[in-house]
Amino acid sequence: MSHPTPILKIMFDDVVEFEAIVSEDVKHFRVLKDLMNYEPMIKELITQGHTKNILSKEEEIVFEDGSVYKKPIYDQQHISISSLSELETFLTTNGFACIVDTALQRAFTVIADGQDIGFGGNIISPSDRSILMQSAASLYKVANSSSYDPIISEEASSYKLDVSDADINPEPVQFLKRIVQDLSTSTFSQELYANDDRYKKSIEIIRETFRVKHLDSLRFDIDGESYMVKRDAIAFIRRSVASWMNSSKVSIEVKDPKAFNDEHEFSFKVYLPEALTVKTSQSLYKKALRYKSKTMKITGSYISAKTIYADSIALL
Amino acid sequence: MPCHAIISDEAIKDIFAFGNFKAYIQPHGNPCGAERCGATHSQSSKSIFIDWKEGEQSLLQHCCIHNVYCKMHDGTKKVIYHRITIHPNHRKNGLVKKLHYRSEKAYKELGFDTISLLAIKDGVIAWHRLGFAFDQIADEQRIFREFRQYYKDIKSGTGFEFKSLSEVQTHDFFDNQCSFTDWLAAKGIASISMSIRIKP
Repeated sequence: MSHPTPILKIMFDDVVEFEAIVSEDVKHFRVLKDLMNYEPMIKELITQGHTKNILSKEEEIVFEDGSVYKKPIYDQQHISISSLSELETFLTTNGFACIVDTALQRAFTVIADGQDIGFGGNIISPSDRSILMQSAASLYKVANSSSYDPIISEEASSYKLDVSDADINPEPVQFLKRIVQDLSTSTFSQELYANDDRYKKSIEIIRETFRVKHLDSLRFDIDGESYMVKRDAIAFIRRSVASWMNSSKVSIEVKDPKAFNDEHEFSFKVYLPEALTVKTSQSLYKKALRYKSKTMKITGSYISAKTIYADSIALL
Repeated sequence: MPCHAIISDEAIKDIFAFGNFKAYIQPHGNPCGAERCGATHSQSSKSIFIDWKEGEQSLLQHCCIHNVYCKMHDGTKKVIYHRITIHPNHRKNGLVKKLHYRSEKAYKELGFDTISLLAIKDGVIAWHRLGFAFDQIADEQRIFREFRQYYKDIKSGTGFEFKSLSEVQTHDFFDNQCSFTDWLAAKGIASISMSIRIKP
């Protein structure tokens, strides 16, 4: 599949270290990958250009004692960069191996289906559309342990999203394939869910996607194979997780919890003496903050050997 | 404004006068107000040439140190190092380092905001190691990239773990085969604008 959007790639030693989608007039760009912090340089070149100092001549200055100083005179040559080809030329002539590529590789395709999940004619609601797009991007980012968004393109069908990138790492793709393969047969690995953050997050993203009201199924086309994840498989996983968590109850008393952090995810650490991460709801997290430095009783369930989910927090 | 209002000759001489070292300002140009500053000058800048000696022996390779002191339109003051080339017999004694730290302190007390220069040859690395920042990110990225290439090709380095030039140690810039500054010179990289902000 070809995209008209050009991708600037900077390489070192045959490794692509920087990738960005850049508009032809270089007014807009979005970074897809940046291993060596090239982004500030690209931004500087686009906004300010580059100034070179070129030795043009030497001016003789004769002092009173007759000695002579040859003063070097430099001319400043300013280069403005207002097009992608100018940017590419500048980088190439200044020792940066770079290319502008337009070919994208597809990581996977998601086809969502349901009553109002249709593309074209504004059938799908903007909010559902946004959830599906974000889910597809998040799945790719979690699998790749990357914070950069892939390229998502919509196609007319039930609601089809192609997730593509300039370079695809096969490992995350295989990882995702394994997950959707499990989900398509209503199975999932409790052990991986407990111990592999990537696995757990991916499952959670797919579970969350089914917040879309009329979403019946998600079909994943990966590596030439198709896997259908249905709403009832998600319900099964939800029940499995709940029953497993209920069967691993924990009740601990913690004196003087040492650290509270990660407000965004509502988790904090306690030491018994080993560190345990306590995940909880927003309201219980706030309660824990109030009880900080006091002895508290936490009851909940083990999510993994080092993580518990607290469903009650009390002050002793 | 007479140019000595930007900085006086005496203040400049004081900076260079430590140990057995002494500065001599090369008379040049027109008198400036009551003071003969020995420099080409204008209302907003003072250009000065200094011979720096230990006893009767000059410490310099090329004639003189050339500094320009400027008062900018926005009222800030700037020192520009135009030339300082220490004689080979006096190198590797940390002379420039001592002089720069002394200058930085003095210029700060005299109300200067920045020191800038055009680094050439080994100055690119030397000045950066003295705290000067590259004025343009593209220059810094290029030098760092060249260093990565040098490390790989010349030093046969594996496990390159430096994230920036600031993390590189002095011995990493040298190799029996070729120093990094020789490598840069061969690539035609020269005249890099750098500056250091001295006003807090």
